[in-house]
Amino acid sequence: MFLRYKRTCLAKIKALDLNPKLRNQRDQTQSLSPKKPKPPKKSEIHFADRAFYYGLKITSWGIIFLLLSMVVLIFKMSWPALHHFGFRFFFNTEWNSVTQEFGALALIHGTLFTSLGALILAVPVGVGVALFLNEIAPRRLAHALSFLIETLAAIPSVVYGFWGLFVLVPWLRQSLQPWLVDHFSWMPLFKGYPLGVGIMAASIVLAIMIVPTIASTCREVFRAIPQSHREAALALGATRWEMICLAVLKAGMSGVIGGIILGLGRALGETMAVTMVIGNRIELNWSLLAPAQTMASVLANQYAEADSDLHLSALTGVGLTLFAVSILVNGGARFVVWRIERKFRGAK
Amino acid sequence: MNFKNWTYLQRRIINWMAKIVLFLFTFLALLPLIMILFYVLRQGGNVLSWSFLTTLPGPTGSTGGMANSIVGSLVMVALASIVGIPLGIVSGVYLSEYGVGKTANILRFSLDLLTCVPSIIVGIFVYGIVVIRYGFSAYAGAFSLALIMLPIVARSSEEIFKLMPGHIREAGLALGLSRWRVILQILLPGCRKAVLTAIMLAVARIFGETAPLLFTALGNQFYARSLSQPTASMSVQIFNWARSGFADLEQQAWAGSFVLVTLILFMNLATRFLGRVRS
Amino acid sequence: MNVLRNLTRNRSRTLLGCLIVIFLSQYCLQGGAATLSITGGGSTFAAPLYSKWAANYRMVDESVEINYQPTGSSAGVRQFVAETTFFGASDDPMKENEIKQAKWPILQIPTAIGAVVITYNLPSVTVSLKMDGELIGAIFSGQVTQWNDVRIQKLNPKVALPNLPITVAYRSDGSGTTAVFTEYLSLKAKDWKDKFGQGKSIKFAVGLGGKGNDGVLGLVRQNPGAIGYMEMTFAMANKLTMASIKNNNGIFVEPSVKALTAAASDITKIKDMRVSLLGSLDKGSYPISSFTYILLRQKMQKESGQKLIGFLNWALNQGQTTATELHYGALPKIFREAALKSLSTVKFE
Repeated sequence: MFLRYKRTCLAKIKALDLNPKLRNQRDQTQSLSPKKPKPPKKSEIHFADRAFYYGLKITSWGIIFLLLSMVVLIFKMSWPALHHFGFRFFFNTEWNSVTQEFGALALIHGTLFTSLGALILAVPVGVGVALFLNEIAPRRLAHALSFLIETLAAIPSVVYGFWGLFVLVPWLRQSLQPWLVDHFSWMPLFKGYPLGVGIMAASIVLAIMIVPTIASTCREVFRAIPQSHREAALALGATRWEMICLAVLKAGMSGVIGGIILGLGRALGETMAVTMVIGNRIELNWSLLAPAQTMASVLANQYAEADSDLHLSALTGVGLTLFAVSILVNGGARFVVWRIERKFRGAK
Repeated sequence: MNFKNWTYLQRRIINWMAKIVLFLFTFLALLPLIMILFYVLRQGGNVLSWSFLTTLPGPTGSTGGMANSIVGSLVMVALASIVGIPLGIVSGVYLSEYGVGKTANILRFSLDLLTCVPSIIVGIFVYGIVVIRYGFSAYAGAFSLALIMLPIVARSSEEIFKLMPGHIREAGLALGLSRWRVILQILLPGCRKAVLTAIMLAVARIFGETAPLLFTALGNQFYARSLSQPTASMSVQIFNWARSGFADLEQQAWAGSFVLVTLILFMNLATRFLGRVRS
Repeated sequence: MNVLRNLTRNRSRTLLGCLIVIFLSQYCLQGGAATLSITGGGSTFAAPLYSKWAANYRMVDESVEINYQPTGSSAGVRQFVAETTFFGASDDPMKENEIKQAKWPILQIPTAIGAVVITYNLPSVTVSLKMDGELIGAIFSGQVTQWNDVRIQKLNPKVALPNLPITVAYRSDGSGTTAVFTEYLSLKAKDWKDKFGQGKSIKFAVGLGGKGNDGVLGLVRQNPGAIGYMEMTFAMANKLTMASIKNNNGIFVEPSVKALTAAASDITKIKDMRVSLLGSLDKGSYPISSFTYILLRQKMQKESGQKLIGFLNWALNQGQTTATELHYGALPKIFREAALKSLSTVKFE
């Protein structure tokens, strides 16, 4: 890359033909091999340039090394627990520091359950927001509303949690949950007492937090769809909604999926807001009303105060699991988004 | 979807209904924002006073202010910025200007990984590498914030530099400037506003971070006397007040949220303004 | 050189840079050498007391700040052993095997007596409910799930109990409060020891977890029908109703500073300062009481160490009145003397 730039700049200078030294050099290279000009010797590249380049490169390797050491350290710290429990660690619901029995299944379940709940709530809303802003709202309104949606993403998670605990949870406890229990308690999802805090509260707070993520990814993907597709649909007599279905949603489906997975990634790792509203109880439970614990929130609760080395190591093991899960999820999302972008770049 | 068998009127009605539903979804998404801002303004505004901003928090269970945590947050964010911003821009430059080859690909991959690492894991890492050896400190807190900030700054500045048209670089090179001077004197100044916007967003993001500070910077009842002391921060202070169980302190948490949210919204507005100037 | 000149020419950036530099330098200077900051952490049980002491001690000795972080007793021990804090605090004193983990000898100094009270959020019940160990065990193990259960009614025949489900609130972090509470239940409630055991963080069968005494307090205050255990100060400050607990003489005692102090009054000889108060036979004693301890290294770094010892000496003498103001029990005389004597054995290096 670096050399290619040097070469393009040489080519530009060539046209000017002002620099006699370069003219000579050009003549030389042309005489030696007319098709493939010889790259300039290393000494010809300015020393400062090289120093600058290597400076950048060393910094880059520093950052790479930092990440690598993060992975290694977390793995090393969680090794005693993983070694001690083996694969059982991931399939055991028991988390008991009296008997020194640690299994992550209840936590993994809590994380996935709350995130899934959040997705079910947030996906229609997020996609709806993206469609409304991109396809329906007048430009000015869309501009203002998109700023507000971005603001939603900027509010710190501790404020979300705090608001959830003092506004959302009492409302859930007094209005929504008693009603759900009265009418739907035959479903395992709605069994239990209306406590307020629990999986439902966590899912709602998470949903609020991931709507902007989903909306902005979807908007970007919808924007990548060529305008001509929309115009074609409209020209054939489709209404706006039909145009959205035919031209936008169908083509942008994988982008929507990418956005959903990115939102999922954010929901999985969210810590503070969840800790405050989930009820902090390590138990595998299928009811939305029940308190639970997620991988991230157990770390916030117990990490600084693990009372044995095995406990600490098990917690780090939970961290490692969370790390792996979020990398997988994000990797998947990036792959999907990357594929659709490529597809439309081709179409253009 | 099959629209063939519907009359025009039916299709128009469906169209309008869909529009209304999409509008309602947007409203639904904004409802929490409105409610949060409303509660923070109303509850926090009542308690907020000059003395709240200038006094130390009281002993557990009694009221006070958040002066030390404002200072602590500012110091840690400043410290994180001093490390995170230059490193981020440097890797952004590397990725956009020398962005092919093994190193660049690995770097891009690592930065992407770092972006998706949950912030609490960053906290664990910093705990394991810094706190275990040197104790809780502003340095440890700032380090974890810098780690969160770094990939955001790097990837967004890479995008910004890539948007800079190639012929501007070539013009610089054609004038006989060496590459490092093209980068430092043409590229960076040219993208200043956009980079500043990206930085501002990253700073706003780390201002609100709580999870990585819980076991790196810990907290402090007083002003931290040096950077190697445990340091209070706004977000952790709000968290502690919010779960304190004392009614007075919950009010204080609202006031603290008011300060934090105002600060972050102000930064976001500023970036919006900068962005408008650019376009 | 051009670059440098360019940088200085750009006014706004220079201004920003200068501001940051001035700000940081001011911040570093402000500390100066004059004030020493000592960090400790642990017990949330004793946090109101320690942070109040720390605030008051600023008026006695301006040159030192005691930064006490209520992180929970387990964290107090853990961070102290890991040397990330200068002193620790725990309500559950370190056992021999824990002490062995540390690389240096440890002193455990009792500072006050605290009570673990059972509080509940029942809007219609304003009197103190009577409870015994058996009943508390049944509630916290999920056997009693309604407030109008016969077992509660039997102990409180005159109280109109509401038909409300019981929400148990417990500590989600490692806690000395939990250790004292479960030790009590292991003694008094049938099956508790086999089913749940005792310790700083046990696995409760039902309920919600809160972080810290304050977290449990929040849960109890926010959930009608909730019951939780916490240090007395937290309940007192929020005017929560507390249960009267049956003590070893069969008398139901409402928690108070007097009842707390009584729990330690029948100890006349000290073998080990790590003594449990659960076996107290005094008639007026509140049955779930415990000393709370500060953990120190026997050999300390000189400068900070001397300041810390100064603080603790002050706390054990003048500070004891603050303790009673905050609803902790003052240390009995013999314990105070033993604690002061133990402080004097600290060596500096």
